[in-house]
Amino acid sequence: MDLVRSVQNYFAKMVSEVSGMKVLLLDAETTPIISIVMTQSQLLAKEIYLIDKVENRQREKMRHLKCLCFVRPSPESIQAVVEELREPAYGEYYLYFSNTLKKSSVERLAEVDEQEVVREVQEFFADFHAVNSDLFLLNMSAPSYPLYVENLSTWDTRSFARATEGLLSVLLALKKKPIIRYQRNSAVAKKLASEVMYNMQQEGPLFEFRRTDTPPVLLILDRKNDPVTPLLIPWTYQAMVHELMGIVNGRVDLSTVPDVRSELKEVVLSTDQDEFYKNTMFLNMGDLGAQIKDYVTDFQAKHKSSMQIDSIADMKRFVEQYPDFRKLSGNVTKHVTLVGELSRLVDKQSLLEVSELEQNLAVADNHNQDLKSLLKLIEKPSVPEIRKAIMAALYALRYEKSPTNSIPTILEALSKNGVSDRTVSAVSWIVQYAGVDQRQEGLFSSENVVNRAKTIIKGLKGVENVYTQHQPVLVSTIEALIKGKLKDASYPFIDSSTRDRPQDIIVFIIGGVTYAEAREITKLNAAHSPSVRIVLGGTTVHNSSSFVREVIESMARTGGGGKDFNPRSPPSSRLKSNTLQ
Amino acid sequence: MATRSRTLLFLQFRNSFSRSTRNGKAPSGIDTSERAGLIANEISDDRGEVFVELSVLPPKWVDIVDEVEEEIVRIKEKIGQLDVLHKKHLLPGFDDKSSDEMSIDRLTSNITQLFSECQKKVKRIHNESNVASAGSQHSTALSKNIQISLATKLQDVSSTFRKSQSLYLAKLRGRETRSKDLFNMPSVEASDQANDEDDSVFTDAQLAVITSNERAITEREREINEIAKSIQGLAEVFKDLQTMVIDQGTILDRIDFNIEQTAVFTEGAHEQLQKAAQTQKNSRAQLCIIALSVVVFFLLLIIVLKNA
Repeated sequence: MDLVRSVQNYFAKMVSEVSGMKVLLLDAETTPIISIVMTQSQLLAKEIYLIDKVENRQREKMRHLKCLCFVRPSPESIQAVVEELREPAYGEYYLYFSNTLKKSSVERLAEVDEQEVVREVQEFFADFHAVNSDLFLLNMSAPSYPLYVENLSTWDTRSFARATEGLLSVLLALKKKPIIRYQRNSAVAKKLASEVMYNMQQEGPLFEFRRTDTPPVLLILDRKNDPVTPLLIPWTYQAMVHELMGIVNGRVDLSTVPDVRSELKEVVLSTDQDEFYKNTMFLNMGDLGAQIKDYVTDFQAKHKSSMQIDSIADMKRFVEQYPDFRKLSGNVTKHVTLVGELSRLVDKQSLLEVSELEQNLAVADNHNQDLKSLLKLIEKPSVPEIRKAIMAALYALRYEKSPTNSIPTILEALSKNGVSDRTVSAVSWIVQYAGVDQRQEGLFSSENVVNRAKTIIKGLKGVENVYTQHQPVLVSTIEALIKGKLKDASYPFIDSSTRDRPQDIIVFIIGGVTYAEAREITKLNAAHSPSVRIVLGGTTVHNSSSFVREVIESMARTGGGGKDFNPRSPPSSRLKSNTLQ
Repeated sequence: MATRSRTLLFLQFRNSFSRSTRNGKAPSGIDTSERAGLIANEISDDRGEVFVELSVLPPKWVDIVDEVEEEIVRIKEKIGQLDVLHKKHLLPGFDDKSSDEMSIDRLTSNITQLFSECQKKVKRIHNESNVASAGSQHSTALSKNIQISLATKLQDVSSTFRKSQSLYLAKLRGRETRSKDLFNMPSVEASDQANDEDDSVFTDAQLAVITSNERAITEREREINEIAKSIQGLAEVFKDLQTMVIDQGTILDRIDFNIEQTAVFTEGAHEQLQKAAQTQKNSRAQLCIIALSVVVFFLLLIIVLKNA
C-alpha cells in the first residue's frame, strides 16, 4: 500500500504506452499531482519534450508531436480539452482523466473530435497528492475549496465532490473496497462516508477486486475532535520545516532567509530523490543534528580527496565521481541551510520556552503554574503574535469548563501586548469550533479518572523529553482499531459491521492532518508490519498558522453558529459567561 | 492500481457522430465538392491557391536527433563488444595477445570518436534549432528539452564506458604486479634446479621467458597510457555535456517549476508581440500617409504643368 509507488506506476504506464516525441498537457490541479512524484528529467528520458497547461490557448501547432493529456474531469478542464480538440495543435491525442468521466462528457469529446485525432480515452485514478508513501492529501483549502457552508455540519458542494472523488481515487489506486466507519459526532464525516459507499456501489465492476480474508477499513474522522495536535510546535524534521517555513507541494520557499544563495531560494524536499531526507524526515532535532554532522563530515572528506588531482589516476577518479559529488554537494548545502534556518527561527522566536508551556498545557494539569508562565510569555516581545494566541487557545481548550479559569485576563493581556483583534478572537473561535461540547471523547488526560492516575504515575517517573510529551489522539484511535476494540457507538459502521481485526486501514481526516500524525502512522506501520498496513490522508496538511486560518475562515463563512456572531468583534463576553451557543 | 478505458465508448460515439454528419450536412473544414483538392490539411485562401500545412512535418534538425539516438545505440553495442574483448584478453593464457590488444585499441578509439561526433551533432542541433525557431517560444523549449535529454543519455553512456575502462585498467595493473611476482619465483626455483642439472639450458629458457615477460609489461604500460589518454578525451566531452544536464533533485528538475517559467515567458512574449504589433501598425500608417501625400503632390504638379 505505497501511495507514491501507485501514482508513479500510473504515470509510468502513461508515458511508456506511446512512443515518439510527445507533449504533456496538464491542468492546474494535476500539475502538483505529477510534480511530487516525477521529475522533469524522468519525463525527458521518456521523450516528453514539452510540458504545458491545457488552458494555454497560445500554443503553436506542431503536428509532428503526439500529445498526452492528463487532467481532472472537472467542467473547466473538460471545456479546455474540448477547445483543444476543436483546433488540434498536435498530431495524435491520448487523453487520461484522473477520475471517472460521465458518459455525457465522453459524448461531448467525441462530438468535437471531427479530425479524429484522439486515439485513447482512459481513466487513471491518480486524483490525490501522494506526499509520503503512507500520506495523501487533497490540497483542499479556501478560497478554492472551503469546507463548510451555512454551518459546520454542511459541506460546501464543490468541496464535497472533490473529497468524494479524491477518496474514491485513493481506493481505486490501492485497489481496496473497504467497509466504512465514521466518527459519530461529525455530520460531515457521516455524509462523506455515505456518499463514498453509494459511489462504490454504483460503480460496481470498477471495484471488483480480489477478496481478502478481512475487508479493509476506511475510517473517516473530523479535525475538530483533536484541535491540540495542529496547534503544538513539532520537533521532527518534516513537521518542523512545515511549521516554521511551510512545505507546499514538496517545495520550500527560502527566499526570506538572510544571506541565502540564489540557487537555494527555493528547494525541493522529496523522499524519492533525496536519500538523506528519506532517512531523517521523522527524526527529532537532536538526532537530526548528529546525522547532519555525519553527512557534512562525509562530504568534506570526499571534497578534500577530490581537490588532490596529482596524477592521471586521480583525474580519472574525479571525473568518474563528479556527478555524484555534485549532487551530494547540492544536497548537503540544502539541508545545512534548512537546519540552520530552523535553529535560527527557534532562537529568534523563543520557541523552546513556548513549546515547553504548550506541552505542559496539553498533557499536565498545573493550572496555576501554567497560567503564570503563559502570562509571562505573552508579555515577551520575541514571541510572535500568532504563537501567543495559540498558547492562549490551548489554555482555553483545556480549562474551558473549569470554574476558576482566567481566560478573560489572558485575552486582555493579549490585546495589551499588541495582538490584533482578529487574532484575539481566533482564540474563542477555536474553542467554539473544537471545544468540549464539539468533541467526542476526552482530549485532556484529566477528564478521566484512569487517565488521571496514569498522568500521576508518569509524573512520578519523570518524563523523557519535555518537548515531545504529547501524543496525538489518532494513535490511540488506530491502536484500538487494530486490536478490534474501537467502539461501535463512537465509530459506527456505514453499512455492514464486522468483528474482525482489520489488516489494511485507510484513515481520512476532514479538516486536515499534520505531519506529526503522519510520523505516528509511519511508526505504527513499522511496529505492526507486515500484518497491518495503515495509510493516512486529509483534506490538507496543517501547521499551526494554517489551522488557525482555516478555523477563522470556516467560522466567518458559517456565521459561527450564533445569530449575533460578528467576526469583527472579539466575542470575549461569551467565554466569560462560559456558555457556548 | 485500477484503470478503466473509455476508448471503446468514445469511438462508438465518434462513429455515430461522423455517420450522422455524413448523412446530413457536410462537416465544416472538409470540402466535398469536386473542386476540392485531395491532399489532407490543405488550406486554401481566397485567391484559390493551395498550400499544404507544413507543420505536419517535423523541422529538419529533428533528423539530427534521430541520428544521435542511433549512434548512441551503436555506441552501446560497441561497449558491449569491448567488454567481451576485455574479458577474453584478461583470461590467463599463453597465446600471443597482440591481435586482441590491437582490436581493443581500435574499438576504444572508435568509441571515443563516436562520442565526439555525437557531441558535435548535439551542438549542431543547438545551433540549427536556434535559427529555425527564433522567436517561437514552444519550439525553443522543445529543442532545449531534446538537447537536455540527449546530453543526459550521452553522459550516462560515457560514464558506463569510463567505468568499464577503469575496471579493465585496474585488472590489467593487478595482473601486471601478479605476473611480476609469478615470473620472479620460477627464476628462483629454476636457479636451484639449474644447480643440480644442466645450467645453460634452463638459464637460456629462463632468459627467454624473462625477456618475453618484459615485452609484455611494456605492452601493458602502453595500453594503460592509451586508455588514460582516451579517458582524458572523454573528460572533455563530459565537461561540455555537464553544462546541459539538469541537476537532479533541485528546483530546476520540478515539472511545475518549469511550467511556471514557461508561463512567465509566454506572458512576456505576449506583451512584446503586442508592443511590436502596435509599433508596426503606427509605422505602417505613417508610411501610407507619407506615400499618399507624395502621390497627391505629384499629381497636383502634373496638373499645374499641364495647364501651364
